[in-house]
Amino acid sequence: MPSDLLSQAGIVAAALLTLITLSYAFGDHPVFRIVLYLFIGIAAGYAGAIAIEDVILPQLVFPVLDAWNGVFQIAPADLIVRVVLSALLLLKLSPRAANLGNPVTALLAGVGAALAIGGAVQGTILPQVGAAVTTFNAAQFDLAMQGGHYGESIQVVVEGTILLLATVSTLAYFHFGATARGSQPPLRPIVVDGLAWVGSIFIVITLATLFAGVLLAALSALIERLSFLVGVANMLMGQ
Amino acid sequence: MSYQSSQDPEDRLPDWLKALRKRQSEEPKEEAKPAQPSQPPAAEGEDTEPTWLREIRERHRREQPTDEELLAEERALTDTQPTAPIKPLEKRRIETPFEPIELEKPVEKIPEPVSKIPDWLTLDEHGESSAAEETADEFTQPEKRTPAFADMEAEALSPGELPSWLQAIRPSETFPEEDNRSEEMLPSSEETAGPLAGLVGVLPAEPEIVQFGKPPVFSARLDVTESQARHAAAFSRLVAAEGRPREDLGRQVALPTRVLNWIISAAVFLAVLFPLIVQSQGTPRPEVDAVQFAASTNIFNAIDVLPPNAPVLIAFEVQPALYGELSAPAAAVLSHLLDKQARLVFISTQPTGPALADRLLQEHLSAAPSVATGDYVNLGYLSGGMAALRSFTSDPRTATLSAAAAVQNPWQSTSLLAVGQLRDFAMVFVITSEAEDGRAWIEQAGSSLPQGLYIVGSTQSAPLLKPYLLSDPPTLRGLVDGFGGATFYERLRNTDGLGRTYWDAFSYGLGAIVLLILLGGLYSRLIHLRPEKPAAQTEGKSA
Repeated sequence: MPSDLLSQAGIVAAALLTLITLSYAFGDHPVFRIVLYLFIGIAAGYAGAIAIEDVILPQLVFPVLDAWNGVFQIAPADLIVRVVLSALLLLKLSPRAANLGNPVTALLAGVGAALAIGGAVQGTILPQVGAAVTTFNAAQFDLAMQGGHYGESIQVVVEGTILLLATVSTLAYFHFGATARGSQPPLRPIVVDGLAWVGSIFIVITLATLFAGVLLAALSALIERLSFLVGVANMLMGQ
Repeated sequence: MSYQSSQDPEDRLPDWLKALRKRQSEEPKEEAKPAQPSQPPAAEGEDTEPTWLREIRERHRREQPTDEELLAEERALTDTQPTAPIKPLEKRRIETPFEPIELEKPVEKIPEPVSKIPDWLTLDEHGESSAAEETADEFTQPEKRTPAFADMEAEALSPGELPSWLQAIRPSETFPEEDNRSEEMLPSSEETAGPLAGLVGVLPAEPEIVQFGKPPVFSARLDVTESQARHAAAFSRLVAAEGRPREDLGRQVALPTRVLNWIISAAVFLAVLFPLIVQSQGTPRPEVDAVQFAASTNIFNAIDVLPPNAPVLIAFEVQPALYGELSAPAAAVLSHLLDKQARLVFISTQPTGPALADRLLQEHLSAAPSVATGDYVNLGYLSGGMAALRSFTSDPRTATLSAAAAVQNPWQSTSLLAVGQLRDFAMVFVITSEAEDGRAWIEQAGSSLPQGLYIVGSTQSAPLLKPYLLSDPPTLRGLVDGFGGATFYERLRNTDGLGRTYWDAFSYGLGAIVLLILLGGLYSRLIHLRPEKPAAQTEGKSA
């Protein structure tokens, strides 16, 4: 079957490219560079093809052609806005007429910034502040004490204390205000300095956690690729 | 016979001829006489002039002012006009850095035959030419500097006679005297431009700033200090180094370090490859702990009570590089959804997302009936990033329109007939490899989902997404991350999947990495216990 042969050829090619990529662990070499450039080119080309096929053609070209033939898939005003904004954005290619595309770029940047700020405030900052405020859950503490679950009540207190200390000390670490003391260089207040030192510990723990996550993700990707190579080897050996 | 007469032959001429000869002999003598300068030559023909021309001449003579009248007029104007001759145009021209453009050539004076000009015109021309000659003589003379406020000659003006009433009210004694210092304060240079050109002691007609001239020539040589030169040289080296290709650092690694890298790589490869080859499944999976894996348990419970044919939106925000890690937890959760006969609807803000979603279904979940029959919807790529995500959250039906959707409107399928808004989906999952994508969905769509959002993420995104599980109000209801989350989820469902397949390799590989980190830390500690080399020796070697 041609389709099976094509599929198997693709699998073998993928296995070869995987082996070449993994060979970087033993040093850099030209073949690895070739594969690297191949991946970059394929990724860029695929993204461009998707942009043309899924965005430009169905949302701009096809509606314009249909409107040319008298069929309006979308409202004419919407179509005019799309065409005008696209044309202005296309003028960014020309150094002389690039200024005409600035309003479209400004629109994109402004809308993006507004959405990012609004979403961060509504979806991240306020809920996190609310969670930090309710660190010491008095209702749960009372419930645990009344039920005789002293361990849980202590857990509530310890968790709240750690969370409060981590929040305050981390914020103190990024407090850079200092006052001059005579001839001595400006120094932070002693309390803030001590909290900042504690905050640096929590920051190190956070960065270590992120690094561990990246390491585990890389290990997971390695396992999946090696599993794929084992499967290809088994396929080639007829098992 | 010869006839010779003793008389002059002129005597025998008739009288009329003698008179003619005499007049002819007298006329050349009269012409040879020099013309009297006092007599205008035009006066010679006055006898033969017509009457009308003579009247014009007389009227012209009457209109011509006498010398005394001209002198008086000139003296009367000395306070407003310079007595010095006006400079020629070439001398008054403003000096500019540009070469002057000669618009037209000076017209050469064409001598006219005086004889053809009438006498009355000759008279006027003579007078004018005389004046022009006098003006030309004045131009050739050295220039005289004319003060702007030249004192008028007292005798030229007769003092005015004031009426008695005006003299009575005139404050003769209290009138302020003229400040003589004004003349000293005035500039002594001659005005060269404007209507006051040629005058001395006047305020400048043009400010200094608008005067044209050649720009000053500055020296191109920089006066730099030694420190500045040293910095400039360092900057030059820095710029020059940018143009040179970087040396291959891999070739500079010392051989022991390369060998150490090979050993570490081989150890990790062997630790991961051995369980995969032997297909070992001896490593125990995580125990079912509802507290430790509360986030995964929430997802399991939510799916477990899902009614059949419930529409579930799955945002497949996966990068190809991390597809391998996400395939295990995503397959575990999607398998649970398919078992509950949920109608899956895929969408992605990543260009590669839709294709990877199809690959995951065909590669690991092809046994499910809905996947085998293609009973799922792939809305495709949602372009526009966060703005498009917000638009999709507000009105999903108008926001999504991709090429795959253009062929057949997906919103007319049975899976999406009951969906008009985002909250109409029974559940919304985000399968993401990056924490930023998950956060974007939480921030833009979390508030629109009363049932909350569920995330299947990678191990590297989990630390940044877990705080949303504790937020108040909660914006994230459940989280399954990495191989550990996949294995635990399969344990919850009592099934074996990719998590179980990869769990041994993951455990051995993680153990090997931890061991290598410990050994590396110990080796580094031993290295630092050795006495350091002197700094001077080290610098000498590096130099």
